[in-house]
Amino acid sequence: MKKIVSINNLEFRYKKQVKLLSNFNLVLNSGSINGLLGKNGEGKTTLLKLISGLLFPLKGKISVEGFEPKKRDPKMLKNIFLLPEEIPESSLSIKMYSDVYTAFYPDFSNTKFHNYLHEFSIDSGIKSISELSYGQKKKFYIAFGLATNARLILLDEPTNGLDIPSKRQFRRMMASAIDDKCCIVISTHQVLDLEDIVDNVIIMENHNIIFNETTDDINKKLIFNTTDNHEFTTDIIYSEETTTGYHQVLENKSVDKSKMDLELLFNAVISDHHRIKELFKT
Amino acid sequence: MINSFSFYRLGLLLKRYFLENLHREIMFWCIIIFTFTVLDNRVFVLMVLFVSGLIYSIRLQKDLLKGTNSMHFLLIPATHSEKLVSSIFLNTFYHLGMTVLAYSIGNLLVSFTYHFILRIDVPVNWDLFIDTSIANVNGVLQPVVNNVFWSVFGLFAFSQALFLAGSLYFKNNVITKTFLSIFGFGFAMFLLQLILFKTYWNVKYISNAIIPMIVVINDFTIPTVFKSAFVYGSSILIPFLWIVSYFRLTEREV
Repeated sequence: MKKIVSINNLEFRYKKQVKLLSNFNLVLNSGSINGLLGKNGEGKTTLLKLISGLLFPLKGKISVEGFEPKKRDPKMLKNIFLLPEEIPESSLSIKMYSDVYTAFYPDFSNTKFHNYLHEFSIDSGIKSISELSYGQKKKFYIAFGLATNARLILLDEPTNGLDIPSKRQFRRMMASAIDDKCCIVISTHQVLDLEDIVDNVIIMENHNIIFNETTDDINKKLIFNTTDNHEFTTDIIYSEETTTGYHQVLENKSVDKSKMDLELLFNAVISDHHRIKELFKT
Repeated sequence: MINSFSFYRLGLLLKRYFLENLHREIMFWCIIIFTFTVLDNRVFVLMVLFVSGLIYSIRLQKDLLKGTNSMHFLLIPATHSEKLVSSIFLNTFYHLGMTVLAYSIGNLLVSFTYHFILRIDVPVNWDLFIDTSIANVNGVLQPVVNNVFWSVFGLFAFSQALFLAGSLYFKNNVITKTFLSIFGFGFAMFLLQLILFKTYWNVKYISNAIIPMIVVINDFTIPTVFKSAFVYGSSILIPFLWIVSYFRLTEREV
């Protein structure tokens, strides 16, 4: 496991605006898929832009594999792939696009690229990328990004515009794409799309990270269940009533593990992050 | 900046541009060739060169102006210097070269058409960079033929460098803001000139030109040292604007 991204005491604000990120610290390691969760406007996209060098910090230090992102060194850029929420337009065919851009990424794998396109059911013979629908374009760029073999893959709302089968394919591809050299960050507010694939959950609230834990630790320390009886016990950290009963997050005092419910975890952290923080300290 | 410059990556950036804009380029230059077959007046051709160059320069920089394209461009694994040199090559050298080529093809087409259809030999115009003026040679007024290629090239390169810097400096309304900046700068220089004239040379009359340097170099009362300073100063303006553009590109955020 190698440190890919390290952020220390980061401070950032857009011109003529109040501070968006302040005293912000984060470390991202290789071999992990990180789910970056948070409500709209928390600064998730801004964070991805800062990591990739599209925005410059006001104070503090960001390091991506030892490089300072704001310098946009090609040696760093060939190992970063950022898929923004709004995807770029291109009039090229898929073949031409890969002819033009693969040369910039020395570790690009054509085999992987075509396998991913096949998995996403995208016809690689189409005349122009602009002919693809929004969801297909997104799938094309995800396939390209994963095939670059970049060590840092930043995906901003990658599942927006994807249909249900594509979301399943996306999860499968993410799980197969990760290796011990690569680090994937997926920023989204569609938490269900990340279930079963993330190794690490990062939650942002009030423009800072309030939760950053591995799924192993989450499963060790929390229990997620659904019950008909809403009896109050001190173990309950968070509970919400649904048509199927009460979904709860409880303190795990046994060695048993439950299936992590990311949406429930997110709501629990947002509603009482101090208690969860205390729990994870121990 | 120099150490990390790669001609291979520069080639890739140019390849990227041409493949992405192939249809647009073909269409654009076909229209220009057609225009030159209809109107091959030297002044008109130069006007087309400057106006289309300006539009071309702004359009080229849309990579840096529009949000998502801008991200895509800045994240291409190439140095800022390579990205800037590719832009300079395209908007200055390539554009001028293609305009001259279009002018030549347009002229040849007209000449061939006349020759094959009407059996009339129309001479091909190669006078794009030839300027004829009347000069007093030993007391006799004679036409003098001047090759103005370098003057046209210098002025065009300056105009393109200026709008390249403008498009990197301003996010929106690039043409208007660049023109306003030129006007603002010109007006400041004009005021400075007036003060200099009044203080040092006690000049009673000055033309109302807003571009003060033209007045300065045409005025024989101005010491030679100032004229030389202007000539050498303007020749370094182009690389100066390129350097400004480079630093602006390194500071560009999305």
